[in-house]
Formats: sequence, C-alpha cells, structure tokens
Amino acid sequence: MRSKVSIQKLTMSYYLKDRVVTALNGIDLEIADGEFLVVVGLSGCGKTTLLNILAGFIKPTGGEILLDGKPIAQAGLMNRGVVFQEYALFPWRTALQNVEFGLEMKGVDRKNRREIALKYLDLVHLTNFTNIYPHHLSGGMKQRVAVARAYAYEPEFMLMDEPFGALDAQTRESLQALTVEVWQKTRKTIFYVTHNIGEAVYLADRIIVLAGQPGRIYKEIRVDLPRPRDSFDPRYVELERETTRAVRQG
Amino acid sequence: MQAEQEIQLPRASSMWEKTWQWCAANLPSFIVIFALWEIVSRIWGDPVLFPTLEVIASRGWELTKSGILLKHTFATAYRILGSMVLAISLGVLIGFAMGRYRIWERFWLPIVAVLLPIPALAWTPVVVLWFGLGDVTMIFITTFGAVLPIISNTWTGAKSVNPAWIRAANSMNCGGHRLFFRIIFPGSLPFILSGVRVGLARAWRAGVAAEMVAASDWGLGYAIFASREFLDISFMLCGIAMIGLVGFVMEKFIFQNIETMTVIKWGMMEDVQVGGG
Repeated sequence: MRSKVSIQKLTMSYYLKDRVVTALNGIDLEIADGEFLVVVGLSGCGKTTLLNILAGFIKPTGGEILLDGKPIAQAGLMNRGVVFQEYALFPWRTALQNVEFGLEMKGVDRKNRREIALKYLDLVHLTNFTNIYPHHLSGGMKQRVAVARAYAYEPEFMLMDEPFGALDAQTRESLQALTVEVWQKTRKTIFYVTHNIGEAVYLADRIIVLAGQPGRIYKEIRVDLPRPRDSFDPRYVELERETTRAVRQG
Repeated sequence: MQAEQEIQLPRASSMWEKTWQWCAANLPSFIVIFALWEIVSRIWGDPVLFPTLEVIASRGWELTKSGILLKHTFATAYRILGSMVLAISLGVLIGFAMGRYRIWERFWLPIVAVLLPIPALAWTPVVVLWFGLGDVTMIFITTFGAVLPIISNTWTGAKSVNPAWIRAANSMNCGGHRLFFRIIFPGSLPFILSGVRVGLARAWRAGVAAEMVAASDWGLGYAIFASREFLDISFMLCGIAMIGLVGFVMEKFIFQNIETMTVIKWGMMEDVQVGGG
C-alpha cells in the first residue's frame, strides 16, 4: 500500500530556561493509506507533540513530513481533522451547528451542509440530539459530536489525541467500537494517540511505542487480529503484554 | 398486578404565578420599609422635611400626570443610552486589541490601570470648563465611567478564550477575521456582557450625579438638585425612586434577557437571578 503520510528524520527541540530539550529525535515513520495507527508511550514521551506537529499547530525544528508526497506545510489545513482530549465543542453552537462548522469554512452551501452534517451525526448515533447545545450533552455524547465534526470536514487524515481519555470505562469502550465502525465505513487514515494499552490493541492496525527523553520510536507492533476484536482472545492478551513491556522498557 | 402509574411532570408555572411568586418574595421588605417611613414621618410631624407616604404619592402622581417626571427620566436615559453605545463600541474595540495584540496591550494596560480607580464624577469640573453645561459634558463623563470596565473585561475575555476552541477552529481552516467573529467574540461574550453590566451601572450612577452639577435644565439628577430651591422633598424622593426603578428595569428586562438568550442558553454562565425569581 502507498504511503499516505511520510515522516522523515523529524526533530523537535525547544528551550526550557537556558537548556535545550529534545522532545522528538529523528522520527522516521510511514503511515499507509487507510491505516489505523496508534501511538502509545508514557506521558512526556512526545506523543502529543508529534500529533501537534502533524496537525500543523507547531512547526518542527528539523526533518520533513510529506502528505501524499507533498510537504505538509504546503498542504495547508484542508486535509486534516483533529479530535482533542478536552471537549473542544463550541458552546454557542448546537450539536448540528458544531458539525456544520468545518463545512461552513469550506464554503459548502446551507442545504448540503445540513445534509452532510446529519449524515455524520447519524454515523455516531446522535440524530436525536441535533438541536441540543453541548452543555446539555454527556461527556461521551460531546466526544461523539467532536468525532462527527472532524469527519464531516471530510479530511484525508484524522488525528485523535486521547479522545476518550476523560470518559468512564463503559462509555470509552462503546466509543472505541464506534470509532472502528466509522473507520471501517470511511477508510480514512487515522493517527491515534493514547496511553491506554488495551485501547491501542483494540483499535490499531499497527502500534508505535514511543520512548521518552528524547522521544524516539522504540518498537513497532503489528496487530494481526481480525475485527471486531475480543479482549479475552489469548493473542489479544499477548499483544497487550508485549506492548506493556515495550512501554515500560522504552 | 400493579396499576400503571402516571408520571406527573411539574407544570411550567404561568406568567401570573411567576409574578405572584416574585411579589411574595420581594414585597414584604418594601412594606416594612414603607411602614417605618410612615411611622417616622408621623412622629416627626413636619410635612415639608419628612412628608408622609400619602403626600409623596400624590406629588408623584401629579408629576407623572403632567409628564415632568418622565421628561426628566427620558433626558437622563437618552444621555446614558448614547454614552453606552459609545462606551461599548470603544471598550470592545480597545479590549479586543489588547487581548489579541501584545503591542496594544502594552500601550493600553498602564492607562487603564491608572484611570480605572478614578470616579468618573471627578472629571466633571474639568469637562464643564471644556464643553460647558449640557449633553456633551454629560455624555463624556458617563462614557468615561462605562468604558473602563468594558475594556478590562473584554481584554480578560479575549485572553481567556479556551485555546482548544481556537485549535479546533484552526484545524478546520478558520483563521483571521473568521476566527474573530466565529470563535473569539462568542467565546468572550460572558466577560463582555458582565463588563457592560458593570459599565452601565457606573454610567447610570455617574450620570445622575453629574447632572446635579453639569446638566442645564433636564435630567433626573438636575431635577432632584434643583427642587431643593423649593424645599420640594417629595419631588426629590420621587426622582430618587425613579432612578432606582429605571436601573432595576434595565438590569431585569434588558440584561437578563440578553444573557438568557446567549451565554446562559449556551451554558457558559450560571443563571443568577437578581431580585428573586
């Protein structure tokens, strides 16, 4: 499969007082088109920094990122969707209006906007809550709206930064299942950051374990399990063990 | 077998019930105060210096019927309204410039910090010498009173817009003026509204006080002050009651409605009811 995203010799350093801190050091990574890639690592290993660079929020100090063979800086922001850990919904917009936001920015007309937004709200099973303001929605519902909003923008490449980290276990599990369902329907490339190893094994085609200080790729684990995955499957447990060990050693 | 139980939802209370509840909550305090007033005025027994409620009420009715009281009220309200339009435009503009651009923040911050504690009224003699008695002076003073809290609140609001909203918007190609109108402005609205609320209260107080010194012939402050010449305490009291009433109406019917339709509906601010119910 061809590469959707190609990360070459990526480095990120910054000054902390008068000391140079290297957050990421020589990251080389190819992400295939339609791949579900999950990045795990201890906190402070640079996984969120990597996501922020891919999202275009911060500029790397070295190396290159190619999206469809073109430098990402030139690609603009049109082709990436981001789901954040905190609820980043706009409180002054209803669920539907939140999902419509990206389409508005793209200049899609009102009628099509509504149609597309409703389609994605349906995908996350929220059609009954279209006209509700975010503060009346539960945490899980808010993140479903956020997922719908990112997808409705129809990006080539989806970035998710611990999107379900703040949710309770039951809600998180159902949203993980939903994420896989949506991914299978849309076949977008996903770059997913988490510190939850069970989540990584459940979601990923491939797990990248980052080691910290300076952040580098420690190990790559291919998850060769069929979907939907059963967390009691011996192979599943084995992969969890392998990933856990890699995270600890890294 | 158990009979199916009907679910009783609490009924939404009607307009009349709400009014009744509001009266029941707030009227007793007024009744006690009025009763005390009446007792003191009877004991004192001076109808000029401490008139009874009946005398005040009949004077009030007279003034309302002839339209004099309303004309004074409108004169004051019109000045305040004009200065609020000015203060909001200026304050929001400067506040956002400070909140978004470092250089404007550096320029305005010391100025605002120095001017904020000065009561608007203190400027009256200076402004009277510049512009004479009348509307220009009045609007200058009230605008000054209102603009500073609006500036400082808008500034705080613009700085405290959730960075996650800005990133989310950025990730969907929203920047520049689109980011301002769609994210920064609604995101700082709770702060702006509370700044405008404080500004209006300050303008209203400074305005009435300044009218006593600087208005030429109309306005509640002017009327109250002028009626000392005729020992017309009832007129003064009616004027004072009117000041309170207008302030209350502005707060209750204008501000609370704007907030209910925006920041409270969006869950960005708690619903705090002034004056009960």
